Order: sequence, then structure tokens, then C-alpha cells
Amino acid sequence: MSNTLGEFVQKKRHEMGLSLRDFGKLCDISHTHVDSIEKGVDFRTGKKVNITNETIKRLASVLGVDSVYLFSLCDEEIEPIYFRFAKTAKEIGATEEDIEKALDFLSYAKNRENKNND
Amino acid sequence: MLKIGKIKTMTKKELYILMDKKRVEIGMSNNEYIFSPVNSIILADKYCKNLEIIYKNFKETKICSILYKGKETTSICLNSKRSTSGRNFDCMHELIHYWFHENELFMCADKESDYYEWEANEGAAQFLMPYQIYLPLFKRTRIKLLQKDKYLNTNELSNSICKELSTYFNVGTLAISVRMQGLSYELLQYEQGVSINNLDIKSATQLGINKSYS
Repeated sequence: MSNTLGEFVQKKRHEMGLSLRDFGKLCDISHTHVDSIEKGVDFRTGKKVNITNETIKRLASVLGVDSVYLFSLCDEEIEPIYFRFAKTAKEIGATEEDIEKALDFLSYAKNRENKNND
Repeated sequence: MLKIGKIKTMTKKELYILMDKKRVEIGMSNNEYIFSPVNSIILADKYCKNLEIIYKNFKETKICSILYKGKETTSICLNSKRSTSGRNFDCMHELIHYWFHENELFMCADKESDYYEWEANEGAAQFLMPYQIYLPLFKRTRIKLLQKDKYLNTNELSNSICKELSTYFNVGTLAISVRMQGLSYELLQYEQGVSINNLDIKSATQLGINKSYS
């Protein structure tokens, strides 16, 4: 299974000289989740790790890279709608800040839909 | 109706007929004497399932609006940086996607990126500014403005027409200006005496003027 995003995060984390725990603190996500992202597998379930839009944004912020770039590294099966959406926003020339606002809207709209489906 | 890949495409004329039918279906008239401008936000609230409209303060106007169309909910994001009348057009654009397109997500930008975007733009334009009303009004407004000041240059005249029509249709001046360009072939016929109901409706692509998605 390819895990381009995980490999990229691990490489950058090593370059920053940070442990899983320290990097997790900076991103405000647990070190076990960072580990799962780097390996591409959720160890509790044994399935492919689920990475949310919010997590991508936090990772991008700490790594100092464009979140759309991180989306482009994701396996499309993770959250394809976010990937396509961010890519389109980038293509029309939207700024990183505006893309984040658009992604926030999408997260909100999807949560609203999921709550109504429950 | 043509088919490109999996997408069934319409000509400009077919699209306009569809929009006119939709207007009539929901009780709106194409008669200029009883015409009133459309408030697309009220319209969307009435016709979209479980709608919530969210205003985001985007830094730029490149993202105009976004539609998320779920099975149980609908969410529309409008750019608060844009004017109220500009947002009226943007919301109508999303409503056209909602009514006629099956995708879950649409992002409307300040440039047309594919066939669906062309259809939503041209459809929203016809829905908010039916050519049957736009063209006679355009002609009358131009005559009126020139009678008032015969020394108006082309730019001043064009800007003044856009302002007047923008208030009348409750859309931004940019939408009026784009509509003016989009209807130039039809306007020419109308000016030459062809009646509104007999106009030959053709898109820029059909006329070989430039590339669009129609």
C-alpha cells in the first residue's frame, strides 16, 4: 500500500528533529495518530488510517507547507472529496487562506449531513 | 441535446427554454410588465432541502460560492466580500446546480471551468435576467440615457446602462455587463427589427466567436 503522505510527514519530522510525541503536541494530535499517519495504518483497527481535513490543515501548518500539497499526497481513497475540492480551489487561483475557509465550509456541511443521517 | 462523454449538453436556446419553463413552474412571469427581480436567497430557502446559507469572509472574490448537496441537507456558502446583488447572482448559480446537476459539490469561481459551470452561469443569467425582458429594457435605457446626454461616450453609456439594469434586476454590474456581451448577437437582431419571439439564440461557441462550453 502506498503511503506518500506518511513518508513525507516522517521525513519532515525527522528533519525537524522532533519525536512523535513532540511533533504530535505541536500539531495538537496524539503521538499515536502521528505514528498511524506515518505508517498509513490505524493500529487499533488494522485498517487504513483515516485522516480528516482538520488534521491535514494542522500538519500543513506545523510542517510549513501548503495544505493542498498535502492533500495531493493523500491516497485518494482517504477523503477524495476534500482532495478534489482543494485541487479545484488551487486551480482557480484561490489563496491558501481562502482554500482553508472553503474546506472549513465543506467540513461543516458534511458534518451537518452526517448528523441528519444518524 | 448533445452528449459529451457522460454529460448531456444543451444549446443556449435549449437551456433558455428550460429556464423559462422553470420560472413559469414556480409562478414567475416572463412578462416585463409584471416582472419583479428575483431574490435567489428566498428562492433557495424555499426549494432546497433543509438549507443553511453560510457567509464566509473570503479574502478575495475568486471563490464566489459553494454548494454542498447532500441527501438530507443542503449547504450554500456565499462570499461576504461580494456585494448583495453579486451574491444574488451567486446564489442563483448554485440553485441552478441544485435543480439540474447531480454532483454532490460545486465551487463557483470567477471563471468558467467546465460545461456545468457554463450551464449554471448562463442558466442563472436567463433566470434572473430573461432576454425577453433584458433586451427591450436595454434598448429603452440606452435611448433614454442618450436623450438625456447625447455626448456620453461609449464607456460612460455602457456604465450607466449597467447601473440602471443592475438595480432593476438586482444583480451586480458585472453580471449585467457579462449578460450584455452574451446577448450581443441577439441584441443585434432585435435592433434590426426581429421580434423577441423570433430571435435566433446562439452561444459564442455556436457563432465561432470564442471557446465556451455550450
